[in-house]
Amino acid sequence: MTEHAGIERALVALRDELDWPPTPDLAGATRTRLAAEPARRPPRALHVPRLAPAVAIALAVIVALGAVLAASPDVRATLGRLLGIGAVRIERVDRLPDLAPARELHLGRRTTLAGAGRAARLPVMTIRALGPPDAVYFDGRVAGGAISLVHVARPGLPASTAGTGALLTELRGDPISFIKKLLTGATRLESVEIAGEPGFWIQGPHTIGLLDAQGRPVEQRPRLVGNTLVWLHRLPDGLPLTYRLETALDKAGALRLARSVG
Amino acid sequence: MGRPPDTESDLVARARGGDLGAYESLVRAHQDIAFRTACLVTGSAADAEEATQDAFMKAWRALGRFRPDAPFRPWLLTIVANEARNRRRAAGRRAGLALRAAAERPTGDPAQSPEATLLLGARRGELVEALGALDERDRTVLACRYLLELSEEETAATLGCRPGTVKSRTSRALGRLRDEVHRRDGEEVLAP
Repeated sequence: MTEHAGIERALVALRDELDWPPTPDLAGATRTRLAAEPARRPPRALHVPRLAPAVAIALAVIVALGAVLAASPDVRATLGRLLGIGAVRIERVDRLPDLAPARELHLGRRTTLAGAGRAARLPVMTIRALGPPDAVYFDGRVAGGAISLVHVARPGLPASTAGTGALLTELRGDPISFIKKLLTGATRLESVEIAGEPGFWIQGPHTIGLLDAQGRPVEQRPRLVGNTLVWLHRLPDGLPLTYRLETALDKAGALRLARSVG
Repeated sequence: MGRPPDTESDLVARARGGDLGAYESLVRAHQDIAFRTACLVTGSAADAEEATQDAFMKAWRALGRFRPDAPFRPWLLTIVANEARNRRRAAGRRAGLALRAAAERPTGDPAQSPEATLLLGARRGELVEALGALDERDRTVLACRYLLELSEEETAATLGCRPGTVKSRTSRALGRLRDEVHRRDGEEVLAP
């Protein structure tokens, strides 16, 4: 390329003069995220995290209760007034408030994946089956912060009641409830298992309302939602996270997306 | 005497066995070039940060498929570039070369050709502007080859083309950059 020798030398000289954006500590951040993954070895292996006995028993009870509730409307009516998982409290009511689907989702401020992780000080998991989200939000009104990933509707990913193709919310799964769900008897509740952790598939209309650290509603009115999957994920250091996936997909489709979260 | 430093193949072998510390050392050695490559592709430092970190996560999960006797950097940059391209597509953004010359200082090297002396001595800012005026393909191939010092194989991975295409594309891009510099020089002379 001798005909371009001058311009090549100019480019080479330019190399050391450029003011690149400073490189963040990506290696450290990657290690932190990887340490939060249930499976540490690169070849994926089924990994069931060890739980403290009391926690394991409590979760088993929740799963069993969920199964009972799904199976028997009578038992459900008797026992199923109140249960929960992670940061989600599920409450059975006779009828839902008279609500129309919300025009705005009030997910907090728009940010990036990295920004949301920094704000919540949590590893941010994404739905790998869908690729990068179309938008990321962080809501600091909820204690510990809630991270929401929005995927717009597209072929194969129909719009849900929320108007999005998929809406994944991640929040700390402390025993304090940060999400309150109201279900009627017409809403089906099934227990599910995702990566060895318990969850619920909620099929049918119900409401969702965010609560602050004092248990007070963040919004004046809860939001009417459709099919939702809620599950627990436990970090290696024992910190429980709660995930909530809102989608118009059926149970199998929602589980497929949930099992790709990582 | 301390333990000799781990070679890259040592680190790869340990990372494949699940050693997070070894994997951190591996990606730390390449994070600058990975991040800058992602900057070139996405045109945004924020997107580049996310793309690079997601790529590092994917590379970890794919380590089982990596051939231990192959060089690690081109393999890693392939994943980084793919992730950066996906992110750019998702954002619907054209890549931009958001770079600035850090300083303009003459080199004082008497052996330079007049053209190079002109470029090296006082026109680095102009050169960056001329690069920015090229179309995206030309700009990216030159940035990969000369500003990031990527090999032809690594550049091909970044551009998503075959290695054989890189050489011809680079030559054409150099010609267009030279023309652009000359055109700008002419405009400046003609300016009042």
